[in-house]
Amino acid sequence: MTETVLRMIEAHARAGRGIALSGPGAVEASYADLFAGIAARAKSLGDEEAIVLVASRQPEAAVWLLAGLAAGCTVLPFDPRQGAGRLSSILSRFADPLVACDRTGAALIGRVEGGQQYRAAQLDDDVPPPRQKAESMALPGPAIVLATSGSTGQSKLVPIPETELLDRAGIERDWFGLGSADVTLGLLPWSFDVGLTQLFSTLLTGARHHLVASWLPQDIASAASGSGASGMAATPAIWSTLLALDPGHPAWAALAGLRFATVSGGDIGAEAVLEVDRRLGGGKLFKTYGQTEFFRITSLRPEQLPGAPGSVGPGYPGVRIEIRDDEDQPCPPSVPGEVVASGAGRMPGYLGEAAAADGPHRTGDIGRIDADGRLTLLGRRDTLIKRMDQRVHLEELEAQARAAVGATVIFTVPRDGAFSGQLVACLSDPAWSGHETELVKRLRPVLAAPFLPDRVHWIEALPQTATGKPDRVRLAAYLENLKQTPLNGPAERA
Amino acid sequence: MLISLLDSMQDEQDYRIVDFFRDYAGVDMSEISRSDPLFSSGLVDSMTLIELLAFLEAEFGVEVSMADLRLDDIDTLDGISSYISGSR
Repeated sequence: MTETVLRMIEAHARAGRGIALSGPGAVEASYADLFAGIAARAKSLGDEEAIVLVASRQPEAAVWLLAGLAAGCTVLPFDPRQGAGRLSSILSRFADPLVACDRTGAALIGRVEGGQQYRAAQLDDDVPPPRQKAESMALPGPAIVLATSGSTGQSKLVPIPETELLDRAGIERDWFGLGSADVTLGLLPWSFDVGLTQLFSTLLTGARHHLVASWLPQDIASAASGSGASGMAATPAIWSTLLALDPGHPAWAALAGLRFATVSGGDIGAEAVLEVDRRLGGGKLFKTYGQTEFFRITSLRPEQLPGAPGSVGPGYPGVRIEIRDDEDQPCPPSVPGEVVASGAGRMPGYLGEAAAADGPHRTGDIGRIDADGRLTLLGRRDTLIKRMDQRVHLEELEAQARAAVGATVIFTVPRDGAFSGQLVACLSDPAWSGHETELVKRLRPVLAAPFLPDRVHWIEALPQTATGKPDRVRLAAYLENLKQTPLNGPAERA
Repeated sequence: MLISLLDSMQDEQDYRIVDFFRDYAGVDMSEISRSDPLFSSGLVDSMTLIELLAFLEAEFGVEVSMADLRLDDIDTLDGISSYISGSR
């Protein structure tokens, strides 16, 4: 008999396991509650193919996610913070998706152009509006789909079949030594593979997952101590906020009760990692490195951390990592190049694209491997940028901006000069000369908040490559040589 | 009787906060009162509060202390107004 998420939950319900999910406001759902909720919801979803879940994390949203799988659907969890532009692009790929939303999600769909054409159901609706059309895109059946930013200007859809989800959950359970008495603290969205795997590994184990609505340190402290949390996955943005606090802050006292924690979704540097580990009490911190297209590429375990705190560890079990140069040749130890991974955890292919994923996975990350096989990440080789805890390719921002303002807008981040590290939007359309403030106003409802440009600059002509594409290198060089005054800054925003 | 937010707005500060929620979170504030919970009710995604804090710093010169702040402190328009008053 094939293991399914529904059977997994049912087994824990029959075994009399206690709380499966809890959250702010003393909301709790036992395994029996969760099983009954999933079974009832799945019945109402029997005719569905694709579900896009646009809601804040809450037990009812988890019921939709799991019931969608139980009903054989392909479910895409969307983090409302990713903005209306990306949601619009995702929804347009499906013929007739069911959009399950809470009040936050409904507000976001209201900002999607033509958003009223999609079938929407509130999380507490008993029966969704009936499906009108069959999907033309081949769907993988019961699967979770994660959207990741693509360099083509459109986000890419990565399906994770239910069986693979359960495999990943089992691997993570063993890696962290999860048991049914554990309580994991849920800070990360389910649209992010780390947050998703944490949810599934906890439920697979029969443990409790406590959802946390806020990343404010006092709220994390209350959630950790109130729930008796024993494990937590967090991003560099969360750890940086916590590290800025005095070591005597209540959040650190609460987190010292954890059995394990992770730095996931990026790195925070050797000194910061050691400081986090020290404040947690030592010997508890894992680092994990993966991508949406590839589950776990490396992980550094707590016992390995003191010896190589700047690395993200050796290859995960079943994964082979290597570094390749621009000619696709292997680099010698310690020589930087592109990180390439192969083996367990590779996605089967992007949804809606005929070609299956084949051969080693080129990550786009630059790194080097030391003599002991540990990987250190050094940067990116393409246009992927990261702000707060969100990532986007500049091409995707440009596609969303073009749709919003009807003009070509090129984004870049100068490395040097007065605007070093700032996100600058440049355009040359004469209609927008002198109207940079209005441009930001038009971009605001569409772009995710971290990706609103810090500066807007109108330029006579955008530099182009020989093939007619925007020449970001020349544009960045031009901006790096500019003085402060010609650029429009945040003070001039609407 | 519920007094709607738009009826009870007192000053420029209120309008700018309402504009923030409309522009960043797409929330129609016309049916909301000053004491209605924004984040804990699910009306606004709670992760948007990071953007709210950046907005309060930039627009009102508020010195945000992450060490002491809780979601409950800024869950309503009244709460946000009090927070601005107490943090400048």
